[in-house]
Amino acid sequence: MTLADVAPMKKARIRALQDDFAPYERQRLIDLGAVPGTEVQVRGAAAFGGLRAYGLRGAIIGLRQQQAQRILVEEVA
Amino acid sequence: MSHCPPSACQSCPAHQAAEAAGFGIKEGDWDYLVALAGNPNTGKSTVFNALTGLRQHTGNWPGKTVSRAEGLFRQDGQRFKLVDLPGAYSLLGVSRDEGVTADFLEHGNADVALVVLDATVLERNLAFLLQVLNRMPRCVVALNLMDEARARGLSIDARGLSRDLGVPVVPIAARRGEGLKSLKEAVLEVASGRLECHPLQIAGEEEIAQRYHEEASRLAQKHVQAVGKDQRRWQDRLDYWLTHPATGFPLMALIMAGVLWLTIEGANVPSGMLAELLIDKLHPWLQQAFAALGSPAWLTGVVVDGAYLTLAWVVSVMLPPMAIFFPLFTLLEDFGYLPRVAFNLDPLFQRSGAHGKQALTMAMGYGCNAAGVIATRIIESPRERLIAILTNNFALCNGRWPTQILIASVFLGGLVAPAYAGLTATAAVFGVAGLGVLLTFISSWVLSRTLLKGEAAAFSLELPPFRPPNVLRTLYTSLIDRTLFVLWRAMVFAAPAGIVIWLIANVGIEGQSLAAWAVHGLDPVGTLVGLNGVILLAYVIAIPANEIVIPTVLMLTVQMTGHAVSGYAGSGVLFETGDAGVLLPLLHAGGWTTLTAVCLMLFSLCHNPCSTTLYTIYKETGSVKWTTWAAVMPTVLGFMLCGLLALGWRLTV
Repeated sequence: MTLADVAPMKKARIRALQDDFAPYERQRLIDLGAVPGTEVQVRGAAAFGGLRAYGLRGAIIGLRQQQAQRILVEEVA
Repeated sequence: MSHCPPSACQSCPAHQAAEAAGFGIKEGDWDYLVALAGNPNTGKSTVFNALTGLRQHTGNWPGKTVSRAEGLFRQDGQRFKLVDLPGAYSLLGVSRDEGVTADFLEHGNADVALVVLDATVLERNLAFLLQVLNRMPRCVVALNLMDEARARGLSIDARGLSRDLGVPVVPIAARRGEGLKSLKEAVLEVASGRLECHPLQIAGEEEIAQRYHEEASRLAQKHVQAVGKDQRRWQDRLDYWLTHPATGFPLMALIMAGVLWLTIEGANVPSGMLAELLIDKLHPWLQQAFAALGSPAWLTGVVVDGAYLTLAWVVSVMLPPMAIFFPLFTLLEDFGYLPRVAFNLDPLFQRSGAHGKQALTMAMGYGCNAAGVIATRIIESPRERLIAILTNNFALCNGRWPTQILIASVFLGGLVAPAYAGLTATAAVFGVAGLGVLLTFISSWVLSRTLLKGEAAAFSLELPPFRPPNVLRTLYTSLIDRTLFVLWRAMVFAAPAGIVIWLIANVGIEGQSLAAWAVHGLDPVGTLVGLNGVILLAYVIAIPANEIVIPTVLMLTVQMTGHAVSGYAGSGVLFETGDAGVLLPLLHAGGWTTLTAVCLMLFSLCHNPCSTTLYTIYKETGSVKWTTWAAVMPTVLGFMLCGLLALGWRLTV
């Protein structure tokens, strides 16, 4: 599954970033700590198809759905 | 690289000075060079200000510092040059700002890197610090925002952290001045070599970013403990409502309208008092004084009726709204509201094919479009950055808010019962500002389908923790930095403009003044689009600064109609809507109607950017073509909008 499929308030662990990211997008996500093994919490719903907020390494990061769809995750109970 | 022993050449002062000079740092009166680095939003600029006593603009949104600031501080007789680098998430990064930071840390020959960490987001911040330690062994860590960490019930073992990192870690709360003395001492210790650093090194080539993050995570878990009650839970709830699909937009509109309403209601009385003093009292007094000193009529005209009167209008019209609007806006900025606005507006920017951070550059445009254009550096993709630059003009700048407020108060406020005048004016200004946002989306959409074809790229936006601003300090700095700075700029342009206005109104050809020639020539076009020749001429004269549009309109109207202003302003009623006021009779004498007022508000929103902004656009894009587009696009749009409105108005009303 991808990060976009995870329901609000649920947690997921990042497995991998897909290969079809633009280089600087991938690098920025890695810089923010979205590396394999990282736990991410979905904080809210994406309003009108816009950003969705995620708890990532102690910070709150908004991502567009098209990005979340390229982050492969496994759900954490 | 740090692990190579420095050669004799590299450690030679001449070499170091030459290297530093390559970064634009001039050799000067300082003993040690200190680079200030950290993640975005860790309070670097606050630390910079606290150490140097300077007043760099601060704000709670990522990417605020796009250019480098430099300052000096002293400790034990030693002088330190402090260089505030743009915030970076990583040194491996690819964005322009991060390149600057990485380059400077590697080749800038700083004696010490002062790395600022946000104690409330320690894990992510530590990953950056570990990267710095790998390049720059002489580091001091400022563990900032300790007051916020305490409020969240976090206990951080700074000594343990220091031991594991191998560099000094000093807990501070820069905005309260806590821990700064120890921080300066630690910088001196490391710079002078009295304290030797043995920084933690992350070795290996493979998946290096992941290892930094894993190590950061381990350190954070080891040294951060939740010991008390989290008193910042309200932030989560506030964030929930401010970014909720159902409440985010209404709250955003309410906050914006509230700021405008406070500005409009609050500016009325002081504006009237300033007009009474400067125009009613001082202007005739100056005329008499000049006459008494035997000044020839032309000199009195140029100085008193030209330069002075325009200055007086600028001060009385501009100062009060700015002195209220700027501090309110700065409070919202420091609190951390702007990233939430960007969050809410993103679906619209996304559908327009634009970048979500354009909301932040738009918000900066509300202060000054030139600043908004510079702020677009936070947008990495060139296509979306250009869209943000070309559309920034649709954010009403400080030079145009007072125009909107004045015209809305005098003309539209006067259409309703006095009790509702303030609310009506607020609604009108809010409507124009809202139209500006709408035009931003529409023009971005059109641009990304025509001149700047492309899809909206992905991006990430950090929502930083809210930080209750220090209200008094914010009021003080925004008054000094923004209000007075902008007022000064307006005055610098106003005095020469006043001289030009007086001259063209009093120097004539064939019995008609130059102003009259121009106004009569422009009148047919002006009337067609619901304006008049005076307004169009004013916009030509006011190309250097939007701030002087209204004063120029008033001055030209006075000169063209011969309508006396002194003696009318006397009742302290600059913004008064009835016949008792000074502006309404003057503008009525100039042939103004409600249509003129509405069209002026529209044209003020949609016309070429001021010369400063155009110059900034040219510098940022390096392109005459895009600078021309930035000037032509809004002007054409403005003429079309005003023309259509005037046509519809005349057919129906």
